[in-house]
Amino acid sequence: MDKNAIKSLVDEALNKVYSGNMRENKGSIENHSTKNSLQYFKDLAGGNTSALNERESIINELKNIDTQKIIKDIDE
Amino acid sequence: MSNINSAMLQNETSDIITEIINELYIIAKFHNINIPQDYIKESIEEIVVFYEKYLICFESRFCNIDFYKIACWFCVIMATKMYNFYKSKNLENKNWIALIIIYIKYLFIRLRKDGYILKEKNYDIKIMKMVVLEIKGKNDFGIGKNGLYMLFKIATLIDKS
Repeated sequence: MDKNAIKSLVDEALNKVYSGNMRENKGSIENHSTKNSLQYFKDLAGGNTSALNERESIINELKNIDTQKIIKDIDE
Repeated sequence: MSNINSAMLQNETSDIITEIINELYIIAKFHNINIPQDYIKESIEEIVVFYEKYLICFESRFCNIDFYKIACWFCVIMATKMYNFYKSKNLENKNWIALIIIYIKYLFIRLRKDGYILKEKNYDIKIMKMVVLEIKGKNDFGIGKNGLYMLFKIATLIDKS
């Protein structure tokens, strides 16, 4: 499944829920992301090289996780 | 004051959700977990519907998409779908636990990128176990999609005294 297919599903879901939804966007708590994460995902959407490199380093870090060993520890 | 549809139906909102889900999909794939397309579709819809209900329930004004909400909810919703499938078919498959493990490790990496480091290393394992117990129905010891989200969210909101 590629990113374009995911994007279509996201657009479809957002349209289903929010198209014609005229309630006021109000509330006492502000709903937002951390600045760093927000910028990272914006950069990924824009194809920014530094963000893509960051993704690669995250994937590499996660590759070393021994899931089978942890499963033994947590699944009694 | 703007309406929720004009706040939500922006390219940026859609792009950010897409990038988060795409990253979660890619990470799973690198661990040989191929998430089925229908699960992705169902999960995205569940997340967007729940996002709206959450904003109303907790009287929250939407400013921009909260990464930790999408990632934590996706983790629990997807693992639950996989668990329910294996259980209904009497299949011994622990992929759903592997998914929880890599997603919680991933969430701690992103938390670190946001400037917050987990000091007690074994607590990530404890959180994974709590999510597994919740999905298995042992709710007294478990933590669900909102608890998981709030745990990461609150870590980003606390300053050292």
